[in-house]
Amino acid sequence: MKELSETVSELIAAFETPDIPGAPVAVEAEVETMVELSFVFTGGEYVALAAPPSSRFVSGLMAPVQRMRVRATRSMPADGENP
Amino acid sequence: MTVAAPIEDFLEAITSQLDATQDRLRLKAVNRPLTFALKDFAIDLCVFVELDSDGQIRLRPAGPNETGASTINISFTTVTRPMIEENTISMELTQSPSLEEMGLAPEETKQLARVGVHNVAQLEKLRERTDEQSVARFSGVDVGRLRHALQTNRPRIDYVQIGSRGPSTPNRPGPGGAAPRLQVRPGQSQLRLRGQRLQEGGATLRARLDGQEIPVLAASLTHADIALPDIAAGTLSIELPDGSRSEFDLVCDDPVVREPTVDAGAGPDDSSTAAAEGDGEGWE
Repeated sequence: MKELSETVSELIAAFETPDIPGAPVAVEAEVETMVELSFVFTGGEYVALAAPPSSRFVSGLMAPVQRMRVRATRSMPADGENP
Repeated sequence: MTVAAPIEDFLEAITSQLDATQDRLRLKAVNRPLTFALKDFAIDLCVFVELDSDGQIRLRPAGPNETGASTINISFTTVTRPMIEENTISMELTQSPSLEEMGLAPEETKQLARVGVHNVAQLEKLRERTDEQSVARFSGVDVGRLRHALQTNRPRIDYVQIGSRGPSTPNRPGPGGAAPRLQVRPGQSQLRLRGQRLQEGGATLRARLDGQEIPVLAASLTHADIALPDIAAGTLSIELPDGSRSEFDLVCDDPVVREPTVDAGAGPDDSSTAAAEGDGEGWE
């Protein structure tokens, strides 16, 4: 199971479009999906893990499934805002 | 089975992951003209709510095949710096001794936490707005305990130190109730005051020599460094963050004349007058 940040990043990356002149560009993405969210205690702190709700079919156990909603907007970074 | 934990641990786990997501997206923006930024995030947490023996609410994430879990809906959104400043307590207010350090029992600190008081500065702020009786009534803490804790934890100067090897002079009145005497050698340019709550809630102590303000170089809860002028002699008046004052009789002593009077063994408890030795600016 991946960390929540990786899962959300990959979810948002799915809306990236290739840099082709004239290609349509998604400027806002709102995704509502079901995930298996779990927490592990590692390195002295809780870490949130998230994955699509597929492990139940592998393990045969009914892992709890939670609704997750992510909204991301796309904009042109202003000068000097880049890290 | 996952261990139950306070709700703030879960929120911290999720927010740190969202921060990591945002950092990744910003890195991507280095090479891309258009980039996504995370705006809102919401999650339904399936948890079991438990109460531990200390009366603290704890959450345990539901495990596989567990039924009957509660659902907590949590939403996160991006906020600006002014929004953070408006909705959180100032960092300055957190720079104050805790209630445990005040000598209050764990049960009393819990009772005060229920009325939003976590440290001495917050307790005094609440007392200024209302009074001790009201604080005691709403929190359930005995008013005598509150008064005693506030009295014994007032800002105060315990010792003054001059130079790196100089002994500490206790802040006690001299003979006849005179201000404690501090002897400074020419060239010594700093005083270190040791005590408690010398800086608090953004307010720091102020120092005046014969009415002339002199700079405070550094200040913390337990000590403050004061710059002395070239000719440091007169009445040194220290105004503490709560408005109370301590006065010292500052004497600039010629080392040649002073030499025979030096009591090398003078310790903090030996006398209210102590000679300053050493010329360095480091501190013991």
